Amino acid sequence: MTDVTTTRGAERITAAIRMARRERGFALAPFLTAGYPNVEACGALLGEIAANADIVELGIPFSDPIADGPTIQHASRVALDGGVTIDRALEMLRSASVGIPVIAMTYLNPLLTYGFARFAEAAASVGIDGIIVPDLPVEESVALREAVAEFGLCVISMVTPATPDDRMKQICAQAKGFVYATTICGVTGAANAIDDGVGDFVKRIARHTDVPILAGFGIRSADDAERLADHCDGVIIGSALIESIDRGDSPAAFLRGVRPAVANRKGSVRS
Amino acid sequence: MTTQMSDHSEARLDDLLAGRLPDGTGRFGPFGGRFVPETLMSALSRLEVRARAAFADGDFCRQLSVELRDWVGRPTALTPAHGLSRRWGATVVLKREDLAHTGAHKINNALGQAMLAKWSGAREVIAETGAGQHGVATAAACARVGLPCTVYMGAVDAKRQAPNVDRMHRLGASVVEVASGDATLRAAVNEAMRRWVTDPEQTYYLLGSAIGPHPYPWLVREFHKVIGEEARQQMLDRFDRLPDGVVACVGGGSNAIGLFHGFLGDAGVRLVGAEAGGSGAGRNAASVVHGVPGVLHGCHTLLLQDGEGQVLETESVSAGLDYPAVGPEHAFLHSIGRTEYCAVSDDEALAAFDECCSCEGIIPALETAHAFAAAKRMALESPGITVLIGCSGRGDKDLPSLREKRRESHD
Repeated sequence: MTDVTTTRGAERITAAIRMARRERGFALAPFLTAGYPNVEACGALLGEIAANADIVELGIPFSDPIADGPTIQHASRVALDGGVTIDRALEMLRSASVGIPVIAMTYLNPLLTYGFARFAEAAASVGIDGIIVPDLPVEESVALREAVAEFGLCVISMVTPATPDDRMKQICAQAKGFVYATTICGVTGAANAIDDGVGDFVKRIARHTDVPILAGFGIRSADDAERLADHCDGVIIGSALIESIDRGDSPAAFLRGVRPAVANRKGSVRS
Repeated sequence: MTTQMSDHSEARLDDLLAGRLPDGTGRFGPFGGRFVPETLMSALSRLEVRARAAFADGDFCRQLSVELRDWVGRPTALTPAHGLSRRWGATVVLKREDLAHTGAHKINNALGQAMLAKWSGAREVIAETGAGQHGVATAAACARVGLPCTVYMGAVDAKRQAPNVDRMHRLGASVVEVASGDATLRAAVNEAMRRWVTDPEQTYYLLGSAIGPHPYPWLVREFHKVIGEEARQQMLDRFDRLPDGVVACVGGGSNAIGLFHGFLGDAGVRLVGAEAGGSGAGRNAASVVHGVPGVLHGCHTLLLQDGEGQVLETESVSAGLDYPAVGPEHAFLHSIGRTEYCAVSDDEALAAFDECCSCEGIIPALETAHAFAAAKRMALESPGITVLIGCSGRGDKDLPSLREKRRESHD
C-alpha cells in the first residue's frame, strides 16, 4: 500500500483518494481561493479545511477566470485586490502546513508569466502535489507536464460531458493523480449540477483509465456528494464552501456535514 | 517607403499568403492557438470543420455574396477626401465601411457567421459587444437569417453606447449587461464564453473581433477580407495605383485585418494600425505598442498585463478599442515586420473626429477617428503621399457620450 505521508505528486494524491474511498465511501476535495477573504484569514481557514478533507485544492487567482462562476470570480477579485500573487499564495500555504495533498488551480497566463519550471520548483517546496489549469487543453499541455514532472508534480486532466470518446481516451492516457470530471457543461458553482446522465458519463471515463475520478462543478451538499459517490471516487466542492464562509459559517462544520464519518459507508474501491 | 523585412519574415509572410497559416494548431507563428476549457474544445473543432465545409460549398458562398450585395450594400464606396487632402497635403482616400448596413464593417462578419450558424443547424446565437456595433450587426443578421440572439455587453459600455442598446432591442435581441470585471468588452467576452460553456452543442458563439481561440481569428478575417479586396481593386480602377499607406484602427483588429489582407502581398504599401493611446502611459488600450505575449480569451497574443500575468484595466474614449489584447494575426504580422502600430491618444482622436466631420461631412465612429489621426501623422511626415483610411464605422452612436464629455469640460 502506498503511504500518503512519504510519497508525493500523483501517487500521494491517488493514495489519499483510495484511502478516503475505503474508509468513508468517498474523498472530499474542497477548493479555496488563496487570499480569500484575506491572506491571514485564508491561512487559518485552510488549516480548518484540511482537517476535514482528503485533498485541498488551492486557487491562485487570475483576473479573467472564464471557467468560474460568480462566487469564485468574486473571490478571485477580492484576493487580487488584497495583493495575492503566486509567491504570496505559496508562502501562505507553507505557513498553513496542511498535511494532506494539495492541488494548485490557476489559469495559464499567470503560469506563463511566472515560468513553468520556476513554478513547479516553488510549488513542490511548499508541498503542492498537482496542478489544474482549466484553460490548458491536453494537446497544449506537454511543456507544463514535463516541467512539473521534474519536481515530482502532476497535471490533473479534466473531462466534461462534451468530451467525445476519442478525446476522452487521449486525455485519460495522460491522466495522473485523478481525473477531474466536470459533471455538467458550465462554470463552477452552477445550480443543478447532477443529472441522470452522470453515471453513464463516469462509466465512459472509467473505460479509459484506472486513475480515480473526482467530480466537480456545482456540487453543493451532502446529498449531491452521496449521489455522486455511487459513481465516482470523490467530489470537489468550491463555490458552496466559499458561500458558506461568506455567510460566516465555519468551513469545518460545512465540510463535516458533507463528509461521512469513518466507516460510515462502504464504497467499492476501484483498483 | 518600403517595409523592411528579413528573408525569414518574407518566408513567413509567404506561408500566410499561401494559406499555410494558421497552422494545424491554429497558430500564426507563435501567436494564436486554442486555450479554452475542455468543454469548448470539441465545439471549436466542429466550428472549424463546418466553416471550411461552408467555404467549399458553392451554394453557401453564392448566397453570402448575394446577401453582401443586396442586404449589406457591398461593395462599399471609395471616397476621395478632398478637404482632408488639401489640409494635410496628401491624397486621402476613405474606404467607407460606415456605409455598410448597420453602420460599420462589423456586419460582414456578423452576417457571414449568422449564415454559418444557420447552415450548421444552431438553435441560438450569443455574442459579445464593446461599442455595440457588433451587437447591432449580430442582432440584425440573426433577424435576417431567423435565429434568436443574446448579446453580452459591459455595463459601462451599455451606458456610453446607449443608442446601440436600443437598436439591438428593436432588432429583437436580448441584451445582457455585464457588471463583473471591468464591465467593458473584456468582461463581455468572459461572460459570453461562460454562457457558451453551458451549451456548446446548440449555441453558436458569434465572436465579433479577430481574437479568441482558433478558428475565430481566421474565420473573422475571412469574412472581413472583402474590405481589402474591394479597396485594392477600387484604388486601381480609380487612381490607377496602390496607396503608399493603409491605416486602420485596431482594438481586437477585425476591420484592420480585413483591410490589410488585400495589401499584404504589396511590399510597397505600408500598413499601419492605430491603437487606443487613451490618456497616456498606463491608461490606454494599445496592446501591440505596450503589450507583451500572453494568453487571454483562448489565444496567445500581445496583451496588456502586469508582472504577475494579471490582465490590466484599459482606458480609451472609444468603447470598441477598449480591449487589452490584439488579434493573433496582428501580433504575427507585427513580429515579422509587415505591419506597424502606433498609439493615438484620446485627445488626438477627438481632434481628428472634429476634422473629419467639418472637412468631409462624415461623422466617423470614435474608433475610426483613431485611424484618421494616425493617417494625418503619416501624411504630415511624408507630404504628397497617397493614404487609404479604413473608415470602419459611423459615429452617431458616440454623440450622446460626446455631448456628455463636452458638458463635463464646460463645468
